[in-house]
Amino acid sequence: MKKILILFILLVTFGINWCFSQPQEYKDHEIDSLTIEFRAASIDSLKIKLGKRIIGRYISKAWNANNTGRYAESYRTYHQAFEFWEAKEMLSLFEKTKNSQIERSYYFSLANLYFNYGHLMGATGNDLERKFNYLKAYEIAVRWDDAINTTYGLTGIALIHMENNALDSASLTIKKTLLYPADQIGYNYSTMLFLDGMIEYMSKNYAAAKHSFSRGLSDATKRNNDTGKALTYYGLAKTYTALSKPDSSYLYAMNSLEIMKIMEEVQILEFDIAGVYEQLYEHFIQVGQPDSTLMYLQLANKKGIELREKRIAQMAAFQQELLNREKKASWEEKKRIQRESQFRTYSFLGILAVLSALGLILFRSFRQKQKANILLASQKAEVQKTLARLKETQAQLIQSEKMVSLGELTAGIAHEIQNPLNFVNNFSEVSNELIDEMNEEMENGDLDEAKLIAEDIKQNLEKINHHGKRADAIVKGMLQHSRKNAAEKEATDINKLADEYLRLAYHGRRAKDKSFNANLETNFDKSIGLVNVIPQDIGRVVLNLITNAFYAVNEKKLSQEKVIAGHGNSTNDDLKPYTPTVSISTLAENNKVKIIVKDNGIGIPKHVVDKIYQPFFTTKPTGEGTGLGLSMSYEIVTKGHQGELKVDTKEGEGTSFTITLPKI
Amino acid sequence: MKILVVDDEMDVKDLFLQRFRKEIRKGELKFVFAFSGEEALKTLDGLQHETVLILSDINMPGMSGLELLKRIKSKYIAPPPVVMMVTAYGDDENFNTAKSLGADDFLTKPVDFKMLKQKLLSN
Repeated sequence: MKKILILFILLVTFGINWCFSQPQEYKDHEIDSLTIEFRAASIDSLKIKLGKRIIGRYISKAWNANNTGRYAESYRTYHQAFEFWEAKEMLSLFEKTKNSQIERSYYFSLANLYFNYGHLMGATGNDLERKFNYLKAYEIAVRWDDAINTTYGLTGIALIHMENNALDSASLTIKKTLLYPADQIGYNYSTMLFLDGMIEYMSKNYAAAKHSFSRGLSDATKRNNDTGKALTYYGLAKTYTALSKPDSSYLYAMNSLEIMKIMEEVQILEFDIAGVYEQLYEHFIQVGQPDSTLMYLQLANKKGIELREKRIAQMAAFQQELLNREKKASWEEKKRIQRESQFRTYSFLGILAVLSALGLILFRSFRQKQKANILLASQKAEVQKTLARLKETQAQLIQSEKMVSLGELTAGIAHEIQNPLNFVNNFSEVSNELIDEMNEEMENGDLDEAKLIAEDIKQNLEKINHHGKRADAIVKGMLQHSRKNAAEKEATDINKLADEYLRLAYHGRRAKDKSFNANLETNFDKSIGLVNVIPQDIGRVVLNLITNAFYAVNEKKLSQEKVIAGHGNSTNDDLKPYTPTVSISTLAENNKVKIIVKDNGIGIPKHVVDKIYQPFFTTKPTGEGTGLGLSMSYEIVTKGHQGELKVDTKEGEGTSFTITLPKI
Repeated sequence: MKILVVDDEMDVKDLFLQRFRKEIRKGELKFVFAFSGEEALKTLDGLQHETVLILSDINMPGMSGLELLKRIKSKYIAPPPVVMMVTAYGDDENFNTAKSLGADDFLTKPVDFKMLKQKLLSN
């Protein structure tokens, strides 16, 4: 029995009132817009204010996700929160003020973050992590004289002691929290009293238990804390059953039931209406009314199953979300997963039905945490399978992006090949004529002239060879570009590569749009030498950046033409003539090499700069961009070459992308 | 008469010099070369008192052949030099644009040198 009671209160969380949880989308949107405001803010006091609001939203979002069983999302959100809050800049923002109250407010949020993260660790069975996070929250809170998080941390530790059946330690710990005045702890004071009562109850000190529950109840009533009321009513009902006072027990159980009928469950507490029904069942065993006993057993069972079903549905919803991202996964596959999840639901219900028929002993064991863990493990396997498929799809997408950019290149390549081939044909024809002339000169006896012609022929043969090789390199490059497997790094002439892809991009664009033209500038640092890179990958990045630059300058040109057209043909000299310019330059710097692609196009609006490396993000009209170009470029530069890809842009004035590669 | 050949491919110079070596030797044709539209305009400035025929590629980085054509035809009051355009893309759009800008002839790559020779000599 003790074990079940502990399980009920496993996951008590404080700090946020779940009754006021907001819809998820709203919250995400809010975090996004607050973050934008935060980045834009230049005054420290405003930054601090916004930062505090953002961390609050993060915790609330993560907490809600945990409470509704979306563990993966909760985990992700907590990590975002830690990243945001534990950033050096954030701490120094608060420290700079030299105001101990403001500094303290930083640590208040930090302690609260650790504390709530501890719950997620508990819910997902990471007991060591859980304890570590509670202790960390406690440590920080004590150092900063923060009564709320100090008592929360202690409560968490007390819970762990309770789970381990170390009632003495649990009692000592929880009693420390009660040394603080109720006013300092606030909303969740009643929950601490409830825990104290439960520990006393389990130690069979029923009078002390009753005392704590009653105090908890009056505090919860005063604060209008329905959860606190439901918990302490429940505690009192249990205590009165133990004291053999069935009338009082019944009354309190019904009070708790009334609230829980609305609340149904406090999932994060693993306290639910089924627990109250179970208490009523215990009560009727005591008073000996078989009908009611059976009724409440059935109700406890039914509700237990219902809530379990809900959790499975939530898990399935989480899977569904992952599945939705999977663009090419077949519909049948999704169906299969749904069927499986349904099958699992039904088999689970079947097992539970058998368990209930077997009676109390099995009914108890069904509540045990292990069950949940097994379920979780199977869900995890499912999620991992989905992830594996997601990776496969990603690989396919990458290949198709390669083919898209190959398509862009084809026209450029055709042009690039035609020129060298023309030279090969022309110089060989001319050489043929020259040989005839040379023979004539020799017959005339003018050997000097013949020698001169021979020189020319030799020169022509070299040219034929040069242009043949040029065509050959273009074809090879094209094959490399679409090659499926990851290629090896090789010592590469970056300047030559940049020049080649600039030409290809230019002619590719020209072939698609004859009216397009841009001033191309190159500025190559000859001292950079050979750099170890995967040439076709870096080539693809350069191609992508130049293609984007062309797009940007063209958009600007079009918009300017519109403005001019709007002015009629009047001689409006306000508008300077716009020369679309795209430049590519290279630069050697210490042990690094930089490739800079710069344009004077439309620039990137501030609100999307952060998103440009996200897969599928594109500002081009539908069908014109895959939204994968920059994300792949980023991937290639950072992961493939341990380099950096940085952007510097001003809306309406232009953009400059800098690729920085290590030279080793 | 001087023929100004404009093309961003450097080897075009050697090719023309060899293709027309006999005509050059006999003094029938004279060639000057420019490797961009901008360079072509500068060259033209230095040739103001001579009759010039211009043979220009269309696809060049920076100033395109069409832009060059537009500038030449609008700059010279009377009579503007003869301009022949050369391009790898023998499409209607380029052709029409070139014509509307006042191009005197339109050639597609690969250039048929026999025909070009006739055209140049008859001009």
